[in-house]
Amino acid sequence: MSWVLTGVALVLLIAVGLILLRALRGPTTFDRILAVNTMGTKTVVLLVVIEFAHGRADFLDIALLYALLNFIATLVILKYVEYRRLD
Amino acid sequence: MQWNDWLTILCVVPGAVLALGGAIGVLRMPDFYTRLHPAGKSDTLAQLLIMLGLSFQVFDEGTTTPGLTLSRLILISAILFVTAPTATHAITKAAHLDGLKPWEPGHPVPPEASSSADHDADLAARPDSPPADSDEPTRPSATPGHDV
Repeated sequence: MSWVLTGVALVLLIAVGLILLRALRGPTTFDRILAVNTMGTKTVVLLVVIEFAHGRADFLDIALLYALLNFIATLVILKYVEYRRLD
Repeated sequence: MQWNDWLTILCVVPGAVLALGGAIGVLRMPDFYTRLHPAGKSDTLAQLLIMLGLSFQVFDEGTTTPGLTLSRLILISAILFVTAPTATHAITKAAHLDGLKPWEPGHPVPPEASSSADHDADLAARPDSPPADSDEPTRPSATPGHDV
């Protein structure tokens, strides 16, 4: 069972690499924000897959924390880009 | 292989294919508003399928705390299911308020400014930025470099 999950993790890594290419190419700021947000979602899934592939029981907590942080970070970056301040 | 392993493969492999397809879509779509579709929709379904497939692994004999693992999986999936489309919607609304025009068929594809890294250069390189919303009172139109 572990080899299937390792293959899924590799596919997710390839997907994160493609989205990172989009984040580097731009062309607008919102493309980069969207790419980083999508990368965060895929990272959460990747952490959960690694947890089940290798039996690391603490990766689920890290994934839970990252899922919460990713949403807040996206909103904060959007607000900063729109208003140039955070208050 | 047990019965739950086959169920896991049945759910996880389409999820991985959807995730890869969404990534290719984000890379290949012509402009920003079309890139929202693979980023917002296929990712949500992909994470739902992968989490569903992995939740069958809880029924293995070697699992020490199956209830705790299952509840955390459901919690992560529910959080992603709510926050990922919400974040995509927030990005879309911010881009719309910023005056980004959707690409229409027949017009040239917007150029990829690969070297411009900051927001002002991106705004300057945008093909047609309308000054329509510059008189909105909540927006800092007096910010230097923000007026196009």
